[in-house]
Order: sequence, then structure tokens, then C-alpha cells
Amino acid sequence: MLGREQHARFQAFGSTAVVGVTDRRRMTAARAAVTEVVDAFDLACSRFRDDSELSMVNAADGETVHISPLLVETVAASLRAARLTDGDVDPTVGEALIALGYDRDYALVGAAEPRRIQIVPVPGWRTIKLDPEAGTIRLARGVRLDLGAAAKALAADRAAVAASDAAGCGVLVSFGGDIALSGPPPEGGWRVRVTDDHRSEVDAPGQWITLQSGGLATSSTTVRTWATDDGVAHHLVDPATGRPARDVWRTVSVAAGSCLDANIATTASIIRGERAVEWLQSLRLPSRLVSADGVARHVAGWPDEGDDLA
Amino acid sequence: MVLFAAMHDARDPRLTADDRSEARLRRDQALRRVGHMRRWVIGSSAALTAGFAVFVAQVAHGRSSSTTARSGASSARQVSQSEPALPAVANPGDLGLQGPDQVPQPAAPSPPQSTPAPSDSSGGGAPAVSGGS
Repeated sequence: MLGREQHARFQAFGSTAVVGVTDRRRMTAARAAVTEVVDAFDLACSRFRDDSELSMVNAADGETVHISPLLVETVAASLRAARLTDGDVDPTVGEALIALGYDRDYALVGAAEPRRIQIVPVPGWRTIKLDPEAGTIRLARGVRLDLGAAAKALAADRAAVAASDAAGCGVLVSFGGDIALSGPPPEGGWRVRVTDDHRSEVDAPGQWITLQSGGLATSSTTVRTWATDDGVAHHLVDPATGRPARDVWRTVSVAAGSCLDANIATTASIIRGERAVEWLQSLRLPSRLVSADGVARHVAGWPDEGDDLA
Repeated sequence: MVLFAAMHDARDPRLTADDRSEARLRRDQALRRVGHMRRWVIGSSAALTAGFAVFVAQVAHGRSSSTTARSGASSARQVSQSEPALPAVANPGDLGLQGPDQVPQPAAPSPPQSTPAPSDSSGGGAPAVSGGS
């Protein structure tokens, strides 16, 4: 071990990105690799960039569109998430989010006056026709994709591997609190504070844990919220209703083999509500669920020690 | 017939010594021809038997005790052709969400330390925070 790890912070995907390295002399190489991955995913998958591939797909009005391998991979990851969660995680919530008022970058939505909202049905992931071999996608007319969470988590996984390869040391990459690890961890593991909001100070109510590998994701209904004429809305839409998910769990954190799988599990758990505990246990995914009234519950081997909310 | 005639002549008491000597020569030549023919028949029979055995081993495969490399390779081909094709091996990712190699471990609290505000400069030692975004 060449010394204690070092972390760098910057903005990415409308949230805070963190890059940690086990060899502080290799930070520049690691960060450059991460930036390259961020730029590629942003251009392919952003819902808020007019020049993104996803914007082109969402505007195709039922036509077949040729897309890049990166967007193919991300859409395929979203479809896998839908399959594995029986549709609780569904990329076709784009139109429902727009109807709820989330139609611009969150920095603009969160600061806006309360808006009149509509509830629209979610068409469902089976309306997506993806042909990976041909590199094409076709959405049913009126369907819009939101790849936000899956794209961010997949990008974290890819960025961690790219940065670790470039830097030749252990790397942690966090995009908005969704964390991917690659390479040898620092002695004792990567220290991470688990809280409701990734922008929090490290002394915010939560829990310290260490991770050796894989990924960690946290989803919360307490962030990315905005005022509407029907009360406060959040960004985790239940595909079954087209509304923000019920507030059974305000925050769910899951450790998994990858950041993407962790993110799928946290998003689905918020949607599933009470059923999430049994589901996470059956999958043996170590998880921390914080109820709407602020009580933490630990599942499948997540440590009990040191949780401020337990 | 030549052989029987030569044997008869060799024993006939009416013949002279020269005639008998000539008859014995003819008998001996005939015996040599019979010996050659018998060897030829035995060799041909052996070759035909071997060829037939190879033919049966290939046509009625699986019932032969042959252990030659040729028949072994043929066996592998025929087994792979006769068994139903197995489905492709599933991508591990399609089998379900993958758990971590190691569960998270509890960590002692760090000394009070503020998370630096996002900036383009390297931050330092503040650990990552996992929370909603």
C-alpha cells in the first residue's frame, strides 16, 4: 500500500461524482478515464440534451432508429432490470415523469413554482423493440424512455474498471451516491457513509460501512423532489400507477456484485414497499431500508453496528 | 485331374523306369500348384474377413469392440449428432441480481470531517457518501 486513498469530487450526471484511488499519485489518470466514460454516457443517454441519442430515440415517433453500441448496452441493461423485477423498474416511465413535472434538468425543476401535474399510464417495457445485432431500437408511438438510474449505475461500473485499468490501482467511483469499485481495495476496505442524501456531510444521520468490491447503491424519496399542485413529488415512479411510489421506505441501500445490480434492487425496493424485505432476503442482497418514519432495518447480512437510525 | 493322373502313372507296373520318373515329376509339379492355390485362398479369405469386420464396425457402430482411434472419433461425431442440442449457456447476469463477494462490514466512525463542496479540484481524504440523488 502506497498510502491512504485520495478522493476527488466534481459534477456529473446532475449530481456529485467522487473518484477515489488507493494510490494518490494516480488520481489524474483515474479521473481522466472517468471523465471519458461520463461524457460518452451523457451523450448517449441524457434525457435533457437535445443532441443526445436518447432524445433522438424519444422523438422518433414509432420509427426504427440506429443507435450506438453504448446505448444498445444501456437499453439492454434497463430491459434486464425490468425482466428481473417483473416490471417494477421500467425505462418507459419517461412520459409519466414529464407529466409529473420532471421535464427539465432537476436543477430547474426543483427551483420552479408548484406545477399542475397529470397522471399518465406507463406503457411498459415490452413496447421497446431492441435489436442488439442490428443496433436498432423502435419505441411504440408516444413512448419515451428514462434511462437515468440505470445509465448512471452502469456508467459507474464502466468508469471504475476504466479508471482502475488506467491508473493501475484500486478505484472507487460514485455518481450521485451509486458506487462501483474496481481493483484492489485499500487496507480495511473502502469506507463509505450511508445516508439519505449523497450530498450530505459525513456526519449526517446514517452508518459507516466498509466495502471490498462490487457496488453499492442508494435510492431515496427524500431527494430529487419538487412541488406540485398535488403535493411534493419525487422521481421514483411506480410503473403500475404512473405516480411517485408510496412512501413506505424513504431510503434503501443495497450492496451487490455491481453498481447496476445494486441500483436495480434499490429502485425496485422503493416501488415494492413492504414486499421488498422478503424479496431482498430471497436474493441475499445485503440491504439497509429506512422507513418513512426514520427507522433503519438491516437485511441479508447488512451490519447492525453503528447505525444512527436502527 | 492332372494330379490324379500323375499319381496313377507313377504306380503303374507296366511303365518303364523313365516313364515313372517323368510321372513323379508331373505329380510333384501338380502338388506345388495345389500348395500355391491353397495359400492364395487362405490369404484372400483373411483379407476379406478383415474388410468385412471393418465394414460391420462402421455400419453397426456401438456394437463393436473396436478401440481404434478412427472408430473413437467416429463415435464422438455420431453421439453429438444423435443427442438433442442443449440450450445455450445463460449469461450470468440474466440469472438474477448478483450479490457481493463480501457483505459490507461495520466501520468505526471517522473523526469529524466535512465533505468538500463539489469542485473541479481534487478533494482529499473525505470518504464517499452513498445516498439518494
